[in-house]
Amino acid sequence: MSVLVSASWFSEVAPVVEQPERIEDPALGELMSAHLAGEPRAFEELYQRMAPELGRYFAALARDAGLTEDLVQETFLRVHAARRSFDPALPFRPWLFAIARHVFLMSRRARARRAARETVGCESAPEPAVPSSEGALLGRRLLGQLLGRLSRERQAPLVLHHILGFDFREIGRFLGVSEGAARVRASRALAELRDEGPEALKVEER
Amino acid sequence: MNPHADLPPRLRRALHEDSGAVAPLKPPSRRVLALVPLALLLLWWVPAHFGLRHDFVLLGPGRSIIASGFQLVGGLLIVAGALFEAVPGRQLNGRRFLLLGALGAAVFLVLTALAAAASPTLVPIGREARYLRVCLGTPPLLGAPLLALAMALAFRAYPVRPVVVGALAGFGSGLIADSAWRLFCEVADPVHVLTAHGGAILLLTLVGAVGSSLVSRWRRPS
Repeated sequence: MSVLVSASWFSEVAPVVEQPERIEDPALGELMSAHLAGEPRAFEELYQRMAPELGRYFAALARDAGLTEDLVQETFLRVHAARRSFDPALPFRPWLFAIARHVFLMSRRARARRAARETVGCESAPEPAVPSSEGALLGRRLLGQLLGRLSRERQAPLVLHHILGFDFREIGRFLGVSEGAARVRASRALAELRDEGPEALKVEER
Repeated sequence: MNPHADLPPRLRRALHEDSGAVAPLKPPSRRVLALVPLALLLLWWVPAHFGLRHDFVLLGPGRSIIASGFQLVGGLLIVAGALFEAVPGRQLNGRRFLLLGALGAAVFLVLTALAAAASPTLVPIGREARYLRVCLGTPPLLGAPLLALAMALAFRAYPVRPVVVGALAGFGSGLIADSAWRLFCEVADPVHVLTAHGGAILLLTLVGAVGSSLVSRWRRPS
């Protein structure tokens, strides 16, 4: 079967249930401002609103349910510790996801170091136990493998745009590249998936 | 993961330990002003301690101080760039990063060219190594407190690219330190200025990048 890897294919197999929000919710910034002001419930509400989205982001990158949960918690710990760096005049999500990406990269680096130290062979991390149909599970596994092959520079814009719905201007701002560069990286990542996806799918189907 | 559950215990603990109100950080353009007193102190202390350059009167005291002032302002702008970069979600893109680098390099090179044209002083023959050692070694020491302060300001935010933040802070601090050092060192020979003075700025840039990376590792997530 020939499968064309496109943005829509990507969205279908990505672990996303609902449509991503494309417009910044001003309530998020207000909640963060309330947290800065010491409002006790604001942080909890922020957590409840943003943890699912962060979970999707980390699930796409880390492919490990346990790790995803840890990363979400670690991100919120960092959000709390770095709360004074939030500018209420600016949107909340780019700030949050810049921290999230940093947490993920640090965690990946730490895991790589640990893996290099360990002598016990553990060649593959356990797959997350995702109750799903066989096809979707296959798609997610494949997606995870394909994402893992992408370079760090290409992986982030692809996930942030196609899974989480960020626009390229926001992505560029927190990756430290221009809007055009973020767009090109996501596009090249898709092209890379297009090249590798169908072959990989054939192997999975045999 | 149940995203709608209450806060996990770790987060609850963190909130319990530190739940007070905090003021948001001021904009980088205002926070960088914290470096101004230290920079001005350096501008006064270097000639007071080491002496003024021999051609200070020939160049014109006003022009010499204005030239150093330009470099100082250039250094402050670059440190402001580091503070901007340290805020998550506001990372400098490649063009802005290059622009800041070019600004610092341009100020440094233009002042070198102007000084060389106005008073082409050379290193005395046979003393090149000594001049190189002094001008390469002293400005980084003078700039170290500036760099420490710039890093402290940057790490009050949450630098997600600590190496970039540290390099910019080091580059800016190096330019400021060199602006003061130029009031003492009268050598305008481009070879000396580029190797010794430029090398000193580069050294502080490297110290900033490495130091920032180390601080970031120390603050790394568990």
